[in-house]
Amino acid sequence: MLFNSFEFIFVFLPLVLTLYFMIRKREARLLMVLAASYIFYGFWNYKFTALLLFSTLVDFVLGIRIHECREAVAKKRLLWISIAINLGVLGYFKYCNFFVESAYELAKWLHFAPASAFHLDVILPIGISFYTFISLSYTIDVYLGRCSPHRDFLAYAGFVSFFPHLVAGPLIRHNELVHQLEDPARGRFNADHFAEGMIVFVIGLAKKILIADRLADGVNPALNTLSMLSTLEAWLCAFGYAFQLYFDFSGYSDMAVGLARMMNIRFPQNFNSPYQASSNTEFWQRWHISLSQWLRDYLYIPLGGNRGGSLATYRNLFLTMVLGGLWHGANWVFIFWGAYHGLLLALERRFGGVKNPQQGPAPFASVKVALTFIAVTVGWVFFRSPDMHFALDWLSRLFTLHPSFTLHHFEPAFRDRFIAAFVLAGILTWGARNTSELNLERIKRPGMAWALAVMFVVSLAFFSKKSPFLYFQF
Amino acid sequence: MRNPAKFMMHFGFATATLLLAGVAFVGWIDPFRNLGFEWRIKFISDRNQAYKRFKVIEEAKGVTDLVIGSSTSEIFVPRVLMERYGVTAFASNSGGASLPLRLILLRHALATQPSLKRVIYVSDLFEFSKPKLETSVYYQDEMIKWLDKRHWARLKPESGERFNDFFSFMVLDRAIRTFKDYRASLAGKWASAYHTDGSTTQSMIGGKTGDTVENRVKASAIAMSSFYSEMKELDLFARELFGEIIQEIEQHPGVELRVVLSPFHELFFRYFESRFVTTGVYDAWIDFLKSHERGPIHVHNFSYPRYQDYGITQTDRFWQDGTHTTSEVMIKMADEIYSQPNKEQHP
Repeated sequence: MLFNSFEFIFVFLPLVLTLYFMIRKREARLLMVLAASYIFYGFWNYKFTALLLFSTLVDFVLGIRIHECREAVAKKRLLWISIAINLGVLGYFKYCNFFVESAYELAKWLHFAPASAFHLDVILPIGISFYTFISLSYTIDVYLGRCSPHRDFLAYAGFVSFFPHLVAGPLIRHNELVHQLEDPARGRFNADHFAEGMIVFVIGLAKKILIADRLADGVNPALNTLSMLSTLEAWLCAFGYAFQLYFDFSGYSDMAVGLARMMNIRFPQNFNSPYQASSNTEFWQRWHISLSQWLRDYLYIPLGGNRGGSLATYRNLFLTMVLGGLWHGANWVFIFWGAYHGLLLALERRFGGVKNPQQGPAPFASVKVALTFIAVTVGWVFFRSPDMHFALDWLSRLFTLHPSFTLHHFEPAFRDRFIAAFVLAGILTWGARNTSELNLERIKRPGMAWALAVMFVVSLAFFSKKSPFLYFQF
Repeated sequence: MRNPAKFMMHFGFATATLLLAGVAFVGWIDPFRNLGFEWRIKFISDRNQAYKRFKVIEEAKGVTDLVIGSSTSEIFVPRVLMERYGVTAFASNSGGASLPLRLILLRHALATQPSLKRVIYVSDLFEFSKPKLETSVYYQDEMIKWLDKRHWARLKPESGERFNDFFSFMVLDRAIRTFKDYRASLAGKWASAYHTDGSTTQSMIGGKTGDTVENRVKASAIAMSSFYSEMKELDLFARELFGEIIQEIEQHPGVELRVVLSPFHELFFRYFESRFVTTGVYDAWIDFLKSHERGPIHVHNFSYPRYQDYGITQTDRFWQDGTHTTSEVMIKMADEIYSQPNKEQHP
């Protein structure tokens, strides 16, 4: 089920919210949330709810066993079992064919390949990258003593499968969410929180439908004619995609935050105006914050972080970003994208001086922001491309001259909307506050209610075409 | 501290008001004539192409030659056919017309034009478009009744899509434009772009100008690929409906059917071949059509590569894009059609 669908907004959500506030008993409410989350997930394919349940059960049991285990070796062994199972499930469903096909290409190059590649008919369950990482972070935290194991399966399962964050994040930690789900006070209707949640949800919906999808209407058809694009058109596609990805993903995150807030639950901020960053390092402190923190805590620091000297730091940065790229997708373009960012981070560490957001504005801030945005956009070329060949073609269109100031490779029917969305995206990105910076108290006025209603209804008008969130594919 | 309850009430009221106002406006204008409210305006805009074509033929008189097809048949201009071959032609084509729509237009024409002698049916890939894409027909009572009831379920859109007929950006946009035409017509400042022969000053073809023919062909191939991504084998429904077209002709003695296999540029054809392995499907369709060739049913094959036999090459002068040809190609096809007598009359 998508957040931007009639069945979610007019059927599922009203029903779930009504039951959430009507049910007084804590266990019954938790059970309702769990059931609703599984229905939400199963709407896409009910068979994969079994996989979600399996992953949840495994780490619930292992979390308790790890905590109760006194022997260090056995404790570690249990942790590795959790890691192996979670990564094994992820590896099979997401990466199996990628590794097989890559091995086949290598064997072909070395002239000992079989006649045809072996291919598994595997469906990628949506959200698998998110819920396996959420579940994995729990067992690691229990092992490290950062949190106690949860002995209430209902609450634990509700934490893993909570529908606002289930399929595309944010990557919530156990100690950020479980106590909120268990708190009886959260089951009492709070008009302030509900209104705030509604505002944030509608803003997120508008970001996704009115900006991201309108940008996609321009970028996608134009990229289908990549070999004919002028340099201007190629750059418009690149910047257009950069905006599209930001407004799509941050819009989804806003909706997740808004939904949780309606239920008196606070989610952490996931985007903090990333394109206002003046360095690549700062960009990763502002973009998909929950993932950046996950990679820092469970990959970068265990690899050694910056404790082993400069070369080790660069290596750890690079490896973390490569694996972060691989997490996004089973394709060499994502690995290359991760490596690209890893290289930029390492170079900044070596030459640039890392900007501390707590310090005052750096000299030539606007220039640095512009350069950072361009560098990030070049990286998005790989992220968007179906393969390396396409990415290199696109880059060649960007950096060789194909003069033309017309936009006739943008679909005429969508061109005006694309341009309007592009301009609005630019204004909102650099000239306005992000959703978490908004003073929601000032928005809770009748006049603003009407403005929000217009935004909501116009978003509904664009529901005619189903548009899944970009990060669903991860 | 603001009043959140008051805020939410205003939001709810505003949302309901805007939604109801939008639905009421669309219901009153009914741009696709498929909502059926009694209080809708009587005005039929040119923007409702399929329905307009359906209604305009009711005004025509003495039609002897009928052109049916999608935008690829637009080059068969009735005025040119009249001037060149001395016939009274009518264009009953609609952009992207599916087979159900073509059958409806044909039956309606046969019922309203007793003088009809020849149907030029232009066959192209749009015959394989998914029936559910023809959403404006299913709920259009005047048109759907020309199709056998047993087929209606095939055209029924997904349940959620019906809401989009009442409230969506596309229908609101069309309703606003139709309303502007309606207001202009009330002030005497609007005239239909449709002529009495079914042709119109508004072309269905929106080609990209300023590009080489190769680029235009590639662009049109990519643009159309979303329609045919599922075409793996010949659609049985298409075969069944075409069979009903044959039956209609056979039940109207004196009427001949000229099936013209529309040409596609070689690059366009190769693009589809490489992406969707369509050669086998298209060959099967050609064989299927030719298997019906008898008596009043004639098949004229201008598909790739046969059009080369008529001197049609890949150069600019013959192509607007991958599927839309120029009038020079139309003349060659029409000369071929009109030079061959009806076998039924000349055994």
